[in-house]
Amino acid sequence: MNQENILAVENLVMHFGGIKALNDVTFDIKRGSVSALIGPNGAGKTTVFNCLTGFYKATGGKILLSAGGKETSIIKVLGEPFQVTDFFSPFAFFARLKYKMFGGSHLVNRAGLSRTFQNIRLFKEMSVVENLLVAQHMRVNRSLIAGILNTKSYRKAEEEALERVFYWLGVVDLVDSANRLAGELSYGQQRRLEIARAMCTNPEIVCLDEPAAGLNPSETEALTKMIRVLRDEHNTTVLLIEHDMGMVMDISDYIVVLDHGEVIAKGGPDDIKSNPKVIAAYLGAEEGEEVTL
Amino acid sequence: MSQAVGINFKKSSIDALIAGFMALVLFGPIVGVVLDGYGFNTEFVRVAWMVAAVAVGRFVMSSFFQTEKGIAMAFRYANNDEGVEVLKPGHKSKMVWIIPLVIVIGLLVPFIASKYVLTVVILGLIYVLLGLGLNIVVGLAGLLDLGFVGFYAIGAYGLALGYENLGLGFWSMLPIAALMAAVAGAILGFPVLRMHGDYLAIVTLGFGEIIRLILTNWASFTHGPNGVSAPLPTFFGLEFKRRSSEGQTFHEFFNIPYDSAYKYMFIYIVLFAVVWAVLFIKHRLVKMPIGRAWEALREDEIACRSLGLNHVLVKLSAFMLGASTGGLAGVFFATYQGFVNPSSFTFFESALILAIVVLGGMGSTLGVVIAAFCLTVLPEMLREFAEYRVLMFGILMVVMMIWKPRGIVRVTRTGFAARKGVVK
Amino acid sequence: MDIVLQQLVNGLTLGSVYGLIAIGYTMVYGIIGMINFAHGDVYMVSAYITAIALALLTFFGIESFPIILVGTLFLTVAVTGAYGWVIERIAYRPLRSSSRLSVLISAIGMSLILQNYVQLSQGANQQGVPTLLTGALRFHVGDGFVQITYMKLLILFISILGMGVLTYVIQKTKLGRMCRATQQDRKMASILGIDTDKVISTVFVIGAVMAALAGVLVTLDYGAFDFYVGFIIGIKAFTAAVLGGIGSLPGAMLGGLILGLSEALFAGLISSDYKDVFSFSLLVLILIVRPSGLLGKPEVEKV
Repeated sequence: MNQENILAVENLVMHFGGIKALNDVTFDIKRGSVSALIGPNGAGKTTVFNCLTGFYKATGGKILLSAGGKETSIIKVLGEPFQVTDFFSPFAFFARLKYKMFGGSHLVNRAGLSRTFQNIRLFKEMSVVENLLVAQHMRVNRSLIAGILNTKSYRKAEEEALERVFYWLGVVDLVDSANRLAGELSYGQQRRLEIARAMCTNPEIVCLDEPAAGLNPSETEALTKMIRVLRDEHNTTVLLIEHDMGMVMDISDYIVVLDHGEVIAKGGPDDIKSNPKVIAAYLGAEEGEEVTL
Repeated sequence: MSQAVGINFKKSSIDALIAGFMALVLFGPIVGVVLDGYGFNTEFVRVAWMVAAVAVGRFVMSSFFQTEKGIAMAFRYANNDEGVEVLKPGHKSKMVWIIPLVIVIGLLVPFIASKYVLTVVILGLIYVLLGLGLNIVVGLAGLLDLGFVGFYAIGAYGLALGYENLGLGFWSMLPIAALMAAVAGAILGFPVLRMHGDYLAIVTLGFGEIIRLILTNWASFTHGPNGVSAPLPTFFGLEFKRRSSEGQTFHEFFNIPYDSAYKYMFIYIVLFAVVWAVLFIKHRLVKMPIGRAWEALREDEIACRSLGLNHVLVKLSAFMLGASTGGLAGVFFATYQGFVNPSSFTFFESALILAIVVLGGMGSTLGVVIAAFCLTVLPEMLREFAEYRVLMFGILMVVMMIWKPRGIVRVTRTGFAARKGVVK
Repeated sequence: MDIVLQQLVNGLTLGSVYGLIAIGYTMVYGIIGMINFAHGDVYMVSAYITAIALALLTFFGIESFPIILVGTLFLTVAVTGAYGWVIERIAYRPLRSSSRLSVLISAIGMSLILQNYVQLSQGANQQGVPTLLTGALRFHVGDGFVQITYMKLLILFISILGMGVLTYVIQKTKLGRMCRATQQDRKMASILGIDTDKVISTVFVIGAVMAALAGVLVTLDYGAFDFYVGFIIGIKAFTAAVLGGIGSLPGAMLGGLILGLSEALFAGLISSDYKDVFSFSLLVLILIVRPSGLLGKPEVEKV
């Protein structure tokens, strides 16, 4: 168990058919830090995210998550193909079979990593409160009998869940919208709700995929504050993909720069700002990419 | 609207002509030439009427949508976002008054209604059960199950064959059948539910058909198309027959004259209680974590997985609970008919149950109950239209999906009063 | 031995028929990502049209087999194609922006409508057509012999012809290019000026035409049919489409052949009562082991 690094990515490779989206990506994320993954369009940022969060099964490499007092191999919990050696060792065979049958990205979340999505994925026809209740599925009393009979312990668990809901609604400033449908909220509110929902799963590390996209400057400002609250008051590590360089440089302790599926630089904001490779990558990038390093 | 609104009759006429021509191509051969052996009879008058109806209908529609009202309606339709409503916290449902009333009336039914009406109402209640079961699967979890009749058949045959081979009666088979149907649902669902999309629909469609094929072909066990007789429920060991080979019968024990309506009264009362129990459980389920998870999964599976929900197991739980409700309904159906054969479990039955769910509104309990009664009791009343039943279901499904995909009863969601937020 | 060979021959023709119907499923799935639930019933309608066309042609005194065949094919293809178009227009187009579940349900509604409509207008009884083409090739194999009827040869010939023409249309013509573009990216295709609604309609019509070919051939060969025939054959053709990889045109043909051959062998060697159970189990098995089918591309989930 690595105390210092919560996430270790080693030699990550991801191929889609013949396309090499990621080519040997290696970086570590320190516990309790705010880190950012940046790079020009098509650099493979979202692919890295999807590999980290278990939505893509990486073609090669290792992703180790040290959270909840144990170390989880993210590629393993997604269910790997059987190896020849498995057929000689029943233990390894059943372990692999277990992950093949019951494995999947949900185990990544249960291991302590939660995420938001670039194109917001809320439960649009459910209320704001219900969105956050669903996120606490693993923490509430799921017993069918207790629920149907509405026992005391069930009611207590539900009440606690609701208290947590309203705590997080307070953090993201959505208490007034608690009983609206998630789909009715404005864009900025939806982004905030998604962050609150990710936090309701009680993660140790939260991955935000372009949280400031589509927000106006004052909303971005509020978001920056919110991310600091996550880090400082909840000891949550934050990893974000972001195009708003002002915000990235302002908030991040550590930055990883990707280009063409490879890490071209890592370090603190000041190092990155002056890194010639990074500047070259950005100036050579597509038009319309606004860069203010 | 800046443009002048006026009806362009030329456009309407062309629309009507095209529609009429299409109708002629479609209806001409199938309706107009009725096969009779290797020859045929012609029914051109019928075709003419149908073509005329389509052409006139298209003309009227085309004209209407050029009027101000029509444009307004089309606009409303395009921007249709009525539907889900979040209730205010502490909302008191009118149901608090209606439910006791319905229970009282329901309990009076067997004593005032004729035997015929009673049998129709029993059938209606069986479909309420089926509708509630499928509503969990389709309405809440958003999984299209077209083989629901398979679970229904498992319940019905479970009772009949369990009695024949193992001597198990109604009361022991009731839970066992629910369990058997749930297990069948798990076996079928586990491999298929991890795939997203429409595969489930077609696999379950096949499953329903396979169950029927097995029931028909495995004659040594199921007696094939001839069917099996099913036992009646007993009242604390008392049978509802005229004479019993073992022990006393119901009418002998209470010293009343034999009446074949007693058994229906008893089935009705048991069924009535079971339906209320299922209604209550369903009412609780939608407010419980599992119910929330089903609906969340229907809304966005990927988001659910990112929140730590095992999508396969959550779907499987909906699938199994739905299946077990279907199994329960099957037991009642078998005991009510006293006999089961494979012809009761065709795809049309699945379609009927689906129509109930669609008409009632996905996820709405009240809607399903109303729809189940409408779709089973109405055809009984209007016997002469019986052969148009399936056609009506089909039209109903298409029209409902286009016009009101959420069904007739508006779905509401619970509101929550604000609390002091605490993290623990 | 002769049984195996005979069943292989039967399986080959059966498989080519499955392939023809599977094309409808696979193309519609490719272009709008939906299963066309009413497709089996389109096949059923084409069986009725075949019999009606035969009856009409005989009524007008036409007796030469080639003319009857061509006339029946033409009429059936035309009318069934119209059914394909109308199905899309009624059950799919108004729901372009609705949830998948809604579209599926409306398609099932359409399937019920077609079945009941045919039943109401033609009666629930089984119908039949006279045998027009008799005779067979016989080969001696060991003690027994293997028989290939001329009708089966005709089925093979027309299926291969139909698939060949379709492949040419999809690969080489402007229409085919539009179809492929729409399949790849509907939004982009429409931005580039392709009328995607029209393309989708066309695909439904192509699917219906292929099902109509199958309908004519099977009806002429088998003779009997009723309003329910589309159901089972629809599920099987869908199995064939999934086996070959749904969305892939050569996959549908390959899947059809494999399914037809294995089903014929199962029916001949093990049990013909349970051959439908076999095909269905095959479907579930494929979905577990290789959901993308033999020639399909594995689906990458868009997160």
